Amino acid sequence: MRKTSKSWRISLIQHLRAWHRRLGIIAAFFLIFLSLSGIALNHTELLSLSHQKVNTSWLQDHYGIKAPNKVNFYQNNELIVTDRLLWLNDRLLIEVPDSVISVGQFQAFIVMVTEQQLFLFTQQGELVDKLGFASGLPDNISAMNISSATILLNTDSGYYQSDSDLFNWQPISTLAKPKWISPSKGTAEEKLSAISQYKSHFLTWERIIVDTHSGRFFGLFGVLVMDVVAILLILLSVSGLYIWLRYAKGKR
Amino acid sequence: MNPIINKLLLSFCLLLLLTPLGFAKGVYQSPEQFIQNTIGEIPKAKVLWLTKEDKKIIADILNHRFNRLRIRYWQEANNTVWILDEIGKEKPITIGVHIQNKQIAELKVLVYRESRGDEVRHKFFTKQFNLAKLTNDNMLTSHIDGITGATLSVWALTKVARLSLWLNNKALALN
Repeated sequence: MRKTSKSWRISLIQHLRAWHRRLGIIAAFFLIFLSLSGIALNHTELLSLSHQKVNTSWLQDHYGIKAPNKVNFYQNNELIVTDRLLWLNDRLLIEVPDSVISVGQFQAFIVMVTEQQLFLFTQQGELVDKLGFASGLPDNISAMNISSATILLNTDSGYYQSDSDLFNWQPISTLAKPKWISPSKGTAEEKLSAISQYKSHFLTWERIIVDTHSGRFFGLFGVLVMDVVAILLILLSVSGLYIWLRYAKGKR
Repeated sequence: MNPIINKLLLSFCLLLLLTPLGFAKGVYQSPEQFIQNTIGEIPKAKVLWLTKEDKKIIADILNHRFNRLRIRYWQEANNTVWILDEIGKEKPITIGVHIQNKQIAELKVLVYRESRGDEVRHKFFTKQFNLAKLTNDNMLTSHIDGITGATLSVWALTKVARLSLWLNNKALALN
């Protein structure tokens, strides 16, 4: 009986060692990958992963990021509007909740109007002010005209003209139809660059690493594979511990 | 029970249920009306330009970044009026604050855009801010009792009260 029990234990250890080796080889790749991605995620701030934009088009396509519906250029094509984002060359100035109507230069400032708000920026792109209902700005804006001393807005309820500080808006009528600011379409190259810039805004390397670490990058299949890898690692640990305990006991 | 009384009770219950959901949003007063009611004829608006250090202090008061470089206000002698927006839960609340002799004379919710929590607009709540001043660490000298179910709105009004007092002090120092 004792001999049978001993040979059973020896056979078990031998099998465990073999499986421990096989599991180790299978898990090695995943273990290395998970460790590296885990370290990266632990130091995401230091590596600025959440600020590193992804420019690779197949990755953007994988995440379903589409090109903007509209790309408009203003002020010698330095100011770019892609849907609800305003850019100063390659620097994002602001993302707004509603549609951008027009952008222009007013005195020393960049001015952008949406249907409900007016934004004022310095030439370097720093936000100076944001005007809306509380500031007396008329709503349902559809166009903008800028002169040296004032801004004229076209709204559902007529034209409104500002004072030089843009604080007071008075309804006015004009003899001639004002010349509203209209965007330019830019060159094909500029448009492609704007689209690429817009798409990369929505995807960072932090997102990619988190999704590959969890397996979600490959959808449900990837998640299940990572679950299996986790179980493999548990089995590896348990078998390794058992083998070590048996070895330690055997040595005594 | 009497069927008429049943119907009356049911209608009353429905009214109680619908009231908070249906009528929380609203424009209660325009900024111009608030200014007129507090300091009389609307003076020309002034501009307070903010430095980097100012923005740091403001961010500390509001507990979030403050991006703007200028704020508009109205002044008559030692009275100032500030019209500020602050997010409650998801949408901005437009709040008017009248400050006199470095203490709050009146705080009023001008526009409330959330679907609930508008209890903060009522006088029973906002009168708590009256006579509040600012301490050295930019807190209010008055204790403000909260309202169950409107915590974020209460915080928004409290932050705007502190900010207005701080801006008032800065504006008066510059003038």
